[in-house]
Order: sequence, then C-alpha cells, then structure tokens
Amino acid sequence: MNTEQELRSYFQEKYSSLTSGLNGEQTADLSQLRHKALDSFNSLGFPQNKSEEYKYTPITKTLLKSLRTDDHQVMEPQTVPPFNEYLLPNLKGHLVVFWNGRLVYCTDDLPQGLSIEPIDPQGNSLAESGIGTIANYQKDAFTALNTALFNHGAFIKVAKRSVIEEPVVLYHLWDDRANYMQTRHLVTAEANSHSQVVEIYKCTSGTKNTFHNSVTEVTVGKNAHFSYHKVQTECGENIHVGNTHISQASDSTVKCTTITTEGRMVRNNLNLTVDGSNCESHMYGLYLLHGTNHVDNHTRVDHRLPHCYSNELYKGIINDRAAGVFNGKIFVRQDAQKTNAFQSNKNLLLSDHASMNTKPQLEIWADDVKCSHGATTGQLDEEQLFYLRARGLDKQQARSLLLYAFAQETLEQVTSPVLKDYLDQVIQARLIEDHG
Amino acid sequence: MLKVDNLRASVEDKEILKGINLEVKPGEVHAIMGPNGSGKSTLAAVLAGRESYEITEGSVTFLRKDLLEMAPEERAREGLFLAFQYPVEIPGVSSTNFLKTAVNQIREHRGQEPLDAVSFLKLIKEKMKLVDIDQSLLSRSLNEGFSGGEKKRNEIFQMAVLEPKLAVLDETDSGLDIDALKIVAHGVNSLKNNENAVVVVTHYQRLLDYIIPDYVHVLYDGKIVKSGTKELALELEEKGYDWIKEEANITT
Repeated sequence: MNTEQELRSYFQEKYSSLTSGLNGEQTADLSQLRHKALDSFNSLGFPQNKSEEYKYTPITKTLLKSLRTDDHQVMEPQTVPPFNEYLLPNLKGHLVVFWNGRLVYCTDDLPQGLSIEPIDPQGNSLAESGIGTIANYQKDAFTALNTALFNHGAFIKVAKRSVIEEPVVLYHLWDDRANYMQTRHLVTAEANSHSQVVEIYKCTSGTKNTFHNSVTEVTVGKNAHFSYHKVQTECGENIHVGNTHISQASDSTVKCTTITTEGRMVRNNLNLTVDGSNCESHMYGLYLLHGTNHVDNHTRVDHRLPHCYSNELYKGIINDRAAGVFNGKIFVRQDAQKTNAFQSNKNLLLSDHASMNTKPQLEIWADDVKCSHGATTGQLDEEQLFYLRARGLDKQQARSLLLYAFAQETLEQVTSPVLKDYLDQVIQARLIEDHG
Repeated sequence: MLKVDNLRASVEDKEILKGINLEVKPGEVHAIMGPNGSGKSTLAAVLAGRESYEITEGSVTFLRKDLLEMAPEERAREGLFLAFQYPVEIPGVSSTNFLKTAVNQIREHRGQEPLDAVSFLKLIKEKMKLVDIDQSLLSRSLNEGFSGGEKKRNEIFQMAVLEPKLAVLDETDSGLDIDALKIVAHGVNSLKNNENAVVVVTHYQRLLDYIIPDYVHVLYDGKIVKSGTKELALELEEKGYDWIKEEANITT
C-alpha cells in the first residue's frame, strides 16, 4: 500500500466482511455503534505527517510499509493452541487468554463479586457495558477503528464492595499468522470495590510484522480502588496502538503502570478523566529500549472537580538507535480548585544515535492549585560511575547497577510481587545483554 | 608500597601537580597538608584513577605494579582505597548490595571464594561496631539523605569492610564534629597494622591529634615543599601556611 486512502479502504473492506459475516446476528445497538465509529474513522483518517499528536511517531507511514495484507490465516475458531507455556509461571490470577486477537480461554472459576464475560463480535454481552461512553471514538482514529472492527475482548465487572485479591490477567498472545488484531476490553469497578487488571502482550514466535490496535475502557466507581498494569516485554516486531480510557468517580484511587521493553512501534495512550472530587491518580511508566524500538507514551489527565491529587512519573532508558517519545497533558478545569497535580519524565540516553522527544504540558483554568511538571534527558552520572569503580566494580557492573537503580523507582510501583519479580528479571537480563 | 616519582598532572591544560615525589612503606601513616588549591585532592584523585586528569609526566608504582596503567576498579582490587571528600549519593542502589558486590569483586581478584550472605552479614556487623554506624543507614540507598558526618563514617566503614593495603583519606575530617572525628579516627587506627598504610590528606592539624602520622608533607603549588614528622603539623597549626609559601617562593 502506498497511500493513506488505500490503508483506509483496506480496513473498510474488513468492516464490510465483518458485518456481512455476522449475518445480522449482531445486536442492533452494536451495529449502530460500529457504523457511527466507522463514519468517525473515515472523517478522522489515519494521522497525517503534520498531526501534532503523532509528530514523532510516524504510525501511518509505518503501517503503510509494514501492515501485511495477505490472507488472514488465523486459526480456526475451534482450535485452542497450547498457550500454557507462554503464561508467566506463578502469576496467580483470573485468566483470560487471547491468541491472534481471538479469545481462547476465559476462566469460569470466579470469586464472588467478580464476573468476566467474553466479548464476541455479535456484542451479546455488551447490553449494559456502556461500550463507547468513555472511549471517545469521535476524537481518535484508532479508538474509532477499534470500535468499528473489534471482534473479541473481555467485559470485567467488579461488584459493589467486593475486594478481589488476585488480579484479572489478560494475556494477548500472537504468532506469525496474525496480521492485525483488534481487541476491546471493558472494566466496571463498582463503588467501594478493590481490584486490579494486568494486560500482558507477548509474541509467541515469529518475526513478522503484526499490528495490534487495542482499547480498554474502565469505569471506576465511588471510593473504589483500581490498579492497572500494562506489560509489553516480549513484543518482537509488533506495531501496537493501545488506548486505555479510565473514568474516575469521587473518592476513588487509580494506579497505572506501563512497562515496555520491546516493540517495533508502540503507542500507548492513557487517558484519565477525573470526574469526581477527592480522587487520587497515579501513573508510572518505564521504557527500556534498544535496537530500533520506538515507544511513545501519551498520557492525559483531566481534572474536572476540586480536591484531587494526581502524580505521574515516566522513566526511559534508550540505547542504540531506539527512540522514545513522551507527552503528558494535565488539564485542570475551572471547577477543579485545590488540585495537586505533578508530572515528571526522566530519560537516560546511552548512545549517540538514541533519541527522546518529551513534552510535558499543563493547562490550568483554576486559580488555586498546586501543579508541577518537568522533564530531563541526560547520560549516566560520571561521579556515581567513578565512585562505584573506585570500590572495585568494573565499568559494566557499575553501569548496569546505576541503570537498574534508575528503573527501580517505577518498577517498585508494580503491586503484584510475582509480576514485579518477572519484570525485574527481564530488566536485569536486558542490562546484562546490553551492558556486559 | 607506593612510590610516586616526579608526578605531573593537569586538567584542561592547567597543570596542577608539578612533580610530586612520595614514598609510602607498609606500616606507615603519612599526612599531606597544604593550603587550599595546592593540589591535595588532585593527588588523591589521580591515585584513585579519576579520568578527568591528564598525567603528563612521572610514574606511580603500587606494590611493584604500574598504578597509572590500571583502571580505577583494578586499583581498588589491588588494594587501594580512596575515602572521598564528597561521597556521592546514589539513589536506588542499596548500600548493602553494593558493598557485597564490591567485597566479592575484591575477593575474586585475590583468588578467594565469594562470601555467602551469612558470612557477609557477620563481617559487616563486626565492622559496623568499629565506626559506630547504624544498621538503618545500610538499609537505605547509598549515601542518600545521609548527613555529612554519616557519609564520612560510611566511607571509613567501607574501608573497614574492604581491608585495603593503602587507604587515601581525602579530607575525611572536613565537616565532622569532634565526636564524629574521634569515631572516624578510632576506626582508622583499629584497622592499622604493619602490613598496610594510610595517607591522610587534610587541611587542619586537628585530625592528626587522633591519627598520629609518621611523616607530614606540605603540598604547595603542586609540589611537596617540606616534609617532616608530626611536629611539622603542629608548627603549621601555629604559624599558618604563609611562612611555607614564602620559603617556597624564595627557592623557586
């Protein structure tokens, strides 16, 4: 494909074949939603070169070059590949597994207060999910595309006052047969509940380009505690656009961590709408890049009501020819007095060809707030390196110790100890691989 | 043990050390004194292998090996220890893990088995007493949020754990109150034996009341202009450095 128009037509065809394949079996509501989303997608189009939102991430160009349009050789719906070997050992949780974008496993062993329903292309389980209310398909082409085209996903509901100890773990696994995947998840954490969701992205084999366009919509009720961890550690040549939209009601607490160590081109959009007062929101990110990885994290926090606190820390270590992008927007609306909002992005560039584009942004309409933002990009501290070497550590050991310490600040925010151990191992192995 | 011969070093084309000669034998304590800007800290840094200095002339042998050829970590493994004037804070690096790595690097270099967790803990417990350092400091990140005195004590504690053959203490007394000074000096003295040596770089005579030097050298304008015994330190304390400067300027 050569033009954006061709790329758009390709997905339009996919839309037609999806809807005709469903033979009118889809619910009327969903069919209408898909149709509207497709219209939005058509008017938005894929981001152009001049798009401010995608200035440093040429996603359209990359898709034109790399999206495989060969016949969709996804497996038969009935076959279940042996996915067990790709799951993180010891990570206990309520599992839902997708393979090449299709749901292949969904646990039915659920504690009281937790329900997980598979989402299918017909939209049977979506009646009360409120799909599309938080993830605005009128503003973002990829959210629109996903809304028009999604086939599988999970609808997770945590009932009022329920405390769910173990996380819901959504595994997205794929192999060379996938050319594109569109998954859609919905989470409703009702009032006074405690829960966490982990999304793990993992390429099981193969070296071909794949495209994953994923949307996760989360509603966090009053006084609920919700954590969300996104893990992109073994993503091969994946092109990923992920939109996570979270809406928070009064007195709720949300914590998100996004950890990325691999990917051809990754764009994570994390949008938090703080639609209540006395809310707490925490966002942590770590990207550890090498080779020609390209990882872009865009976050957006919208403070609409008073007395809320948000804190954001994203850290990056960028080696070789890899590229990192960070854009963090904080909006403090006129009514959101007494907001405390903090944001920080820190980066280490380890090679002359590595690059980082960072843009912290604050827009404040209220006049009684405490906000700060900042970004740094630099190299390892020579004083610290010398100190460690003067005690007998060689250069490589000293470097990887300092890099690990740098990463640690975000890593320690991962609440599950098993997941934290896994990430720890991935990061240590990478530091040894790259730095001796 | 250490032989410095006509050492010249500069930074950004500015010559700081202008021909230093110094010999330290096992069992000796040497004090290097001198006014501000005379090159004391540069000498300590050059011995430890800081890369920002260019060695333009001269040689340094340490235990019959060419010190200047070695990377900083090799010097440390051979038994050289620099107690920093301003120990750097390293957030996120645990003091204990770092020290364990350092100990085992040095042990490996000496052909010894690495210490296991239990023996390492035993070792640090024993050495902690020596400098009266609190266990809670060691569970924190390296030097992070330590007071000036705690940083200096941590340096001597590390020295006690690593058991160097030659310790260079760079203004270890600066910023210490009298009690902390005594503790640090006590630590250094208890580690002293006939096999190892100490070079104390200091501005004031005060520390030398507690760490008694065998020799005192006065460094001025990049050269050792006067050497003597501990009485020289007392004379300096009394008369200041001006007479040394005058003497030095007459001879040059």
